[in-house]
Parts: sequence; structure tokens; C-alpha cells
Amino acid sequence: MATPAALPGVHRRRIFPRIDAPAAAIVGGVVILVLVLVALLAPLVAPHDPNEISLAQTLHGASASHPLGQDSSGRDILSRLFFGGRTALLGPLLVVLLSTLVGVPLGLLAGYVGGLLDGVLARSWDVMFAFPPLLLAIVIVAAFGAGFWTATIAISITYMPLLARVVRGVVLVEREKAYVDACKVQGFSGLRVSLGHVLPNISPTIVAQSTLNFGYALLDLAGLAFLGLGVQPPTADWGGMLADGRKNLVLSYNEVVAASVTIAIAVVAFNLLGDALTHRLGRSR
Amino acid sequence: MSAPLLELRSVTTELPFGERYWPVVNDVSFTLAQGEVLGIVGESGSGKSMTARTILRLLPTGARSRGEVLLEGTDLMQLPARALREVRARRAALIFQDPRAHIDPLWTVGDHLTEGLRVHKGAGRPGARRRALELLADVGITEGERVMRSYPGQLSGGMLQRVMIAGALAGEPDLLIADEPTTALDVTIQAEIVAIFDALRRDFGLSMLFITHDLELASAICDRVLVMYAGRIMEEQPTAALFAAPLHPYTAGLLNARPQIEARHERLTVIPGRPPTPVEASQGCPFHPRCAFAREACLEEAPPLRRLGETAASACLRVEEIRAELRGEAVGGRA
Amino acid sequence: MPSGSTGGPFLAVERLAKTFRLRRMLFGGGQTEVHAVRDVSFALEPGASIGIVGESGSGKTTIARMLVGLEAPTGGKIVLEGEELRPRPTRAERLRRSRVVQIVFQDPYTSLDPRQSVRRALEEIQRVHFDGRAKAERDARTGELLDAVGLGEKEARALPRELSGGQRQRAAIARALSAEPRILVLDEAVSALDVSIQAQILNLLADLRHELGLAYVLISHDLAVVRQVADEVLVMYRGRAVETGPVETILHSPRHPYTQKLLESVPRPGMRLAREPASLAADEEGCLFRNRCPYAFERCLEEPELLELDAAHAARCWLVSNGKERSANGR
Repeated sequence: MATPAALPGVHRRRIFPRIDAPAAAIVGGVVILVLVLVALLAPLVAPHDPNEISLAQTLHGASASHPLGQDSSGRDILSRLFFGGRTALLGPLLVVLLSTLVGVPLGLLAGYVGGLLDGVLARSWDVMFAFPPLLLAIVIVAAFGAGFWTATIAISITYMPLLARVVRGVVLVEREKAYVDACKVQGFSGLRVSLGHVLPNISPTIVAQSTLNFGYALLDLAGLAFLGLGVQPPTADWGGMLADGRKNLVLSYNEVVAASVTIAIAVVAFNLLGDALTHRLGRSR
Repeated sequence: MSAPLLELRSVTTELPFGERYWPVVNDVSFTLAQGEVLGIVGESGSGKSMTARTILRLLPTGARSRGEVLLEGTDLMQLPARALREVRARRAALIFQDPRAHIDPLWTVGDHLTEGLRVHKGAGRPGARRRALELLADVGITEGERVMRSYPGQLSGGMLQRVMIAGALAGEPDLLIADEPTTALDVTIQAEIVAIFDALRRDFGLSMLFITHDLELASAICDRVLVMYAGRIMEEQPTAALFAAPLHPYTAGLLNARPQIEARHERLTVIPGRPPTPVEASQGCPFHPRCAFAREACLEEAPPLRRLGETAASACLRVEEIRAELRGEAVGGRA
Repeated sequence: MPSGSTGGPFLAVERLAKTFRLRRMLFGGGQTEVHAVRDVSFALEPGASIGIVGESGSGKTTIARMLVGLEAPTGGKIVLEGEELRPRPTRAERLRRSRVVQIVFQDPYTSLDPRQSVRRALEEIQRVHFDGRAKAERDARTGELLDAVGLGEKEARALPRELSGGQRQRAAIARALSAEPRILVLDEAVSALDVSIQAQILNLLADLRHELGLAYVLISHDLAVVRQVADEVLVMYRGRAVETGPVETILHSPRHPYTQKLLESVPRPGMRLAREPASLAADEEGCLFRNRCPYAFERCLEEPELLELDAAHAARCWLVSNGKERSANGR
């Protein structure tokens, strides 16, 4: 009877003290903020031009002017990490925006309208799930040529059904709630109910899922760049740096370690934030 | 008078809300005699279910309690986990509001009933089966064989609650704690379940703690009723006396607020406002903001439950002065 | 005569039926038919109040949902202000129905949009239904609606989770009244509330009926609530109307054995507690109550009609036609 949820005037998420979730969210958020700032302000904070070649100093270790050392062309690894953050973060951002823009309406349509339309949509993305997303992206890139834009669009396409499926699932739950019936009884159109009432109520789920997707997309795009299908040299990119550094791994591990640790930190940060958001949703429902 | 089967002494249970602990059961003391059916009646948030859960220490994570819960002299609060499990299995059984949420849907009713018998009573397979059929007969299930073969999903809510009661009886407990056992059921089924409880106490001398939001339901089965509000006991009386002459303005208000089948009222007499949530600390009597009889003295501190004679108790400061009015109001409301 | 009416009845439900077809799970592609509502008829005058009583599975909620267009009938018809409702209404028909009949649901915790304040909900409904209204006019009307249900400015701006159960139910009533309907369907609208709050809402419903001339269709399992709100009663059992009549008659001299059992089951001090065997049987043929009926005899294998006892009172029981008198007083 005295269920905490039933207390008026009390937000359920404040009822039990949470230590883990907000701390993780704050750490994730701060790391993401730092990464974004550094990428945006790269020309100001980077010690060198990322493309400044110094063939006399190839594969040099850390020094005072090159804190993380230099790569196979003698370029400053730290500066390339800073500049590489621009494509490495812009790509996933575009992926999240594009997949949301297409996936959410599709999921909403399938879940809210249901029936035959739902059947067709759900089956069509089931087919897409039959292929590993990275493989599918590689096929798309192979067909349309390598580069930042094709890679980004290719990964976006593989993420659309992922988001659509999540959205469809929560819409199916939401549309059974009595308030949706109450809207229908008011004579509201399907468009008004689905966009005006169902969508706002599932938006926290979309935000949480998109945050998680950001991390995964970053990883996938780095993967494509590593395979030489994404961002093309000489533009600095974390995935590209990984590929570049791998060639000379026996001579110097600086570039590989720097790029992979950065990628890992970024992905973990997005996962922490995404998990914290999902966690909070679970409690407030 | 013999020693009570169950006695609670100054039991307080607190739950963490936000930054601090708030009491959901506040300084509750009462006794339950052997063979007695005691009702705890209250609205949502009154602490009635939490009182039941405190007795068997089935509280949500983070809850803390103090005070003494004596079951035949043993303090359950101090019992180690293992001994407590033994108590739950064989001495004090709990029946919940929603039977479907408390039975494994993948087990047949037969599996469910015989498991308890074999684990706790050491019965063999045929013996456990025979006993399970007897238990089902005790709760009015004549087609025992067929019910034993059924899965929970194939049975109605009323049938399932009968099965849960049979399961609770398997350990031959002395005490049955029923937490809103009929709230999810239809009225006609509710009457049948209440009749089963009544028969169990007559046939087996089972003692019962019957928790409900429905004062009329409590009156149908209980010998004595405790009325709870905001975690505290407001009033304690034998059922008939409580209905005839309530000893707390809250009880009188509840009796008046219910519509009657016999006649339509122009307007129902309402209790203004709403019950407080556990996080709304109030100075003084928790009912004073809604009470027509409140005086300044009522705001000073929460009045303790005072004994008024052998069987009655009230937590109203002014009960002696307003007794006649409460009675008149309750009677007037029901005419 | 109601305004805007084409001269037909205000609300007439004629031989309404709803059969749900459920697909069997996984194996065996067959369908199971569930007869939720079977041949139910009743009528409602402007300002009148009818109670539909029954237990879970009696079909009472399905009737409520069909009245407001959330389910389409599979048989019979609903005539509203002389106009028969069609299973696939046009937008105009849908809006017109919304302005005649509205509903208040049982659970105030799920029936309000969690992200919309009461004020914004009332505002939105007015924009949909009365788009000619100026902003000031809408605000004034919102104020009137909030006043009518006893909510203040603070509650109007709050999100549902910041309101208590009673306040939420007031908000749900205000929302239902926004389109200015003439019939309110109350689907167990006070069942989930605490006793002290329930009385407040019942008084509010009485006031609204008096002030606005609303007609009520009250769906409830609680006979005391039915007594308080309804003038006429329809007792349902497994989709069928088993007894109909004025509320005093039904509650004082019920003639159908099921209605009698219902009344005997109402908890009260000193009620008769007789242990009865539980039955698994629920036959689809003949009288649907006969498996639970203490008076069942051979003839009950055949389905009885709703037999008139007098002009207002009817019961679906063979014993009524036989003129066999039983101690019919349920109390």
C-alpha cells in the first residue's frame, strides 16, 4: 500500500539515495565535454600543425615539444589526436541525428499504427539485422566509395532499424496506457496523439538510446577508418591513426596506444552517460 | 487471560525517502490472542501493510525497524535469518493481495503445494499429494485432482487465492497474516474467501491478522479492529463497538464517508483534505489538519494510544469530551 | 428535447454485442472466441443516470469502451442523439461524438499524460473542439472547469505525478468536461480512491450532474456507489444483462439469483459467511449463471429471456416466469 510511487508531490527518482548512477553520469558527461571542447578548440590548444611533416623525426618518442611522440611522418601525435577528435566526434553525431530522424518516425509508425504496416516494417528491419552492421556498412562504402561522408551515411543506415526497433517497443507499451485512450476519446487525430502525447513520453528512452548509440557509432566509424574506408589520409582521425600506427607497431607503439586509449575513453564515457540515463528512466517509470 | 500469540511493542519502521528516514510505522503496539481475528484498517499510506511486513521482516531494501515483535515470547526482530525462515514456513504464513504475482506460473498447482509439504514437513510424494488434496478441500475446492494439474494461468483469481490459502496452511501455522487478500477479487468471490477464513478459524482455531482498507469487510470477519492513520494506531475496539461508538474522529469520519446501499444521501459527509504521505512531517496529532474537533492542544504532540477500559483504546486527546458526538455522528450518518 | 438532436433517442443501445477473437498461441492456428458482451440493450434520457453492475468478465467495461468509440461493436448498435454511430467514423463524426460522450477511467495514475499539466490538457482540448475561441475565452473557460472540479492554480500548473490520487481524478473529470459533453461514462471512476477521497469525488459528481444536467453511465462493482449515483441499474453477468430496473427495486427486491448473491456478498457487520464449493465449470449454453446458481433446474439448460416483472423491472430467470416466489430480499 505504501508504495513509494504512490506518494503525491514526491518525485519517485528522489526517493532512494543514488550514489552510483549520478556519479557515473557526471564522470561520463565531464569526459565528453572535455573531448568536445578540445576538438572544437584544436587550433588553439594543439601544440603543432597536425599535418606538419618532419621526416627527420619519424617515430620519435615523447619529448618536451611532442608529449606523446611523433608518427611515421614525424607529425605530432597529440596534435593529431586533438584534430582527429573533430571527425571522430562529428561522425557519430551525424549518425545519431540521421538514424533518429529516420528511425524514430518509422518506429512510431510501426508501433502506433500497427497492423500490416507494422508487419512490413518489422520484417524489413529483421532482414537488416541478419547482417552484421559493420559488414553492411562495408558493402555500402565499397559500392559508393570510401570517405567520411559515405562512411557516416553507411553507419547511419545500419543504425536506423536499431533505433526504430527500440522506439517501436516502447510505443507498444505506451499506447496501451489509459491516457492514450483518453486522448482518443477526445477525438484527437492519430497524428496528434502519437506526436503530441506518445512521443514526448518516450523521448527520454530515445535520448538514452541515442547516447549509447553515439559510443557504438564512434567505434564503428573508427573501425571503418582503420580499414581505410572512412576518413582518408592525411586528415587526422583516431581510427586512421590506429591504422597508421599499426604499420610501425614493432618500432613504436606511441600512436596505437594514444589512439586506442582515446577511443576507449570516449566510448566508455558515452556508455556511462547512456547507462545512467537508461537507469534513471527505469526508476522513474 | 493467557499469553498472547503475537505482541508488538513500540514497533517503528522507517524508510529512506530523499535525504532522510521517515517513519511509515510509528510506535505501534498491540496484541493478538490465540484464536483471535484482528483487523488492521487504514487508507493507503497508513502503514497497515508495512506493519504486516515488519512482523515477518519482509521489508523493502533500506528499511529499518526497532521495537519488539514477540511471537509466543520469541522476538522475531532478533532472530537469525535461518530461524526466521523456519517461522515463515511453519508458524506465521502470509497471504498477499495479488496471488498471481506470488506463484510461479510455470509450476502446476500440485507442484506448488507438494513442494512445501515435502521440504518443510518431510512428506513423501504420495503423502504430500494426499495432504495437498485435503488442504484444497479445506478451502472449498472439490475438484482437487483437476486443480492440482492446472497451471496458475488456467485458474481464476478467486480459485488461485484459494490455492494460496491452501499453500499457507500446508505448514500448519499458528498465525495467518492476510494482506488485502480479497481486494483484487470480485465481491461474490470475496464473500467466499472471507467465509473460508471464518471456517478456518472455527475449525482449526487459526489466529489471523487481517489487513484491509475496507472497514465493512473487517467488520464481517474480525473480532477486534485497529484503525491506522499516518503510521499510527488511532483506535482499537471490538468490531461491534467500533461501528456503534467510534472512539476517534477519523474512524467516525470513515464510517460516515461511505455511501450506503440502503439509501442515497443528498451529500456524503466528507473528511476534508487527504491522508498525509510519510514524508509530510506534522507536529501534533497526525489527523488534526482534517479534524473538526481539533483544538490547540492537538497541535502540540502526537497523542499516545490511551487505554479506555478493558478492550478499547484511542489516540484522541479529546475522546472523553466528544464521545457522544462521535457516536451521534456515526449513527446519524448511517440512518 | 436535446438541442442539436434529430429527434431520435438521446442514447439508445440496441442488442449490442462484442466478440473478441483471440489467436491461439504458437501451435494450432485456430481462434478462440470470447463473448464479452451479448445482446445488451438500454436507453438513457438527458440528465439520467444508469449504473452497470457486474464482476470482472461481465462485459461492463467493454460496454463503456464501445460507448466512447474505443472498441467497435461486433453486433447491434449505439444511437447517440438520434444518430447511429458507425464503426469507422469520419473525423467530423469522431469529434461530434467526443462532444456528446466522455469517459473518466479508473486509475488516475495512468489516465493522465505524465508530461502534460492539467491546464495545458484543458487548453489543448478546447483548441481541438472550439477553434473559434480566442485565447482569453479559452483561459476563462479553463478557469471555470478548474473551479468546477475544485482544483486551484497551483494544481493546474503541476504535472500529474505531483498530484495526489484525488486531485488526479478531479483533473481527469475536468478534462472529460472540457469538450462539454452531455454524457459522462464513469468506468470504476472512484474504485481506486481511498474512502475519504471517494466521498469527495462522489459529492463532486452529484454537484456536476445537478449544475450541468449531465447524464451518467456508471460502471461499478460497488453497489453502495451505484446506489449513490445511479437511478437505473443494469446487472451484467458474463456479457448478458441479467436484471434491470430502478436502483431501489434492484437493491431491495432483487429477483435474479445472481443479483441476490451480489447483494448477500456485500461485506457488513454480521454478514452470513457460508463456505461454498468453488466450481471450475462455466457453460456457454443455457443460463450462464446456472453452474453457480442454488436454484438451477432442468429448464436452465435453455437460455431464458429477459422477462418483465413490471414496466420497469426485468430479470433473465425462469423462476421469475414461473411466478415461484422466493425470499427475494437480498439483505
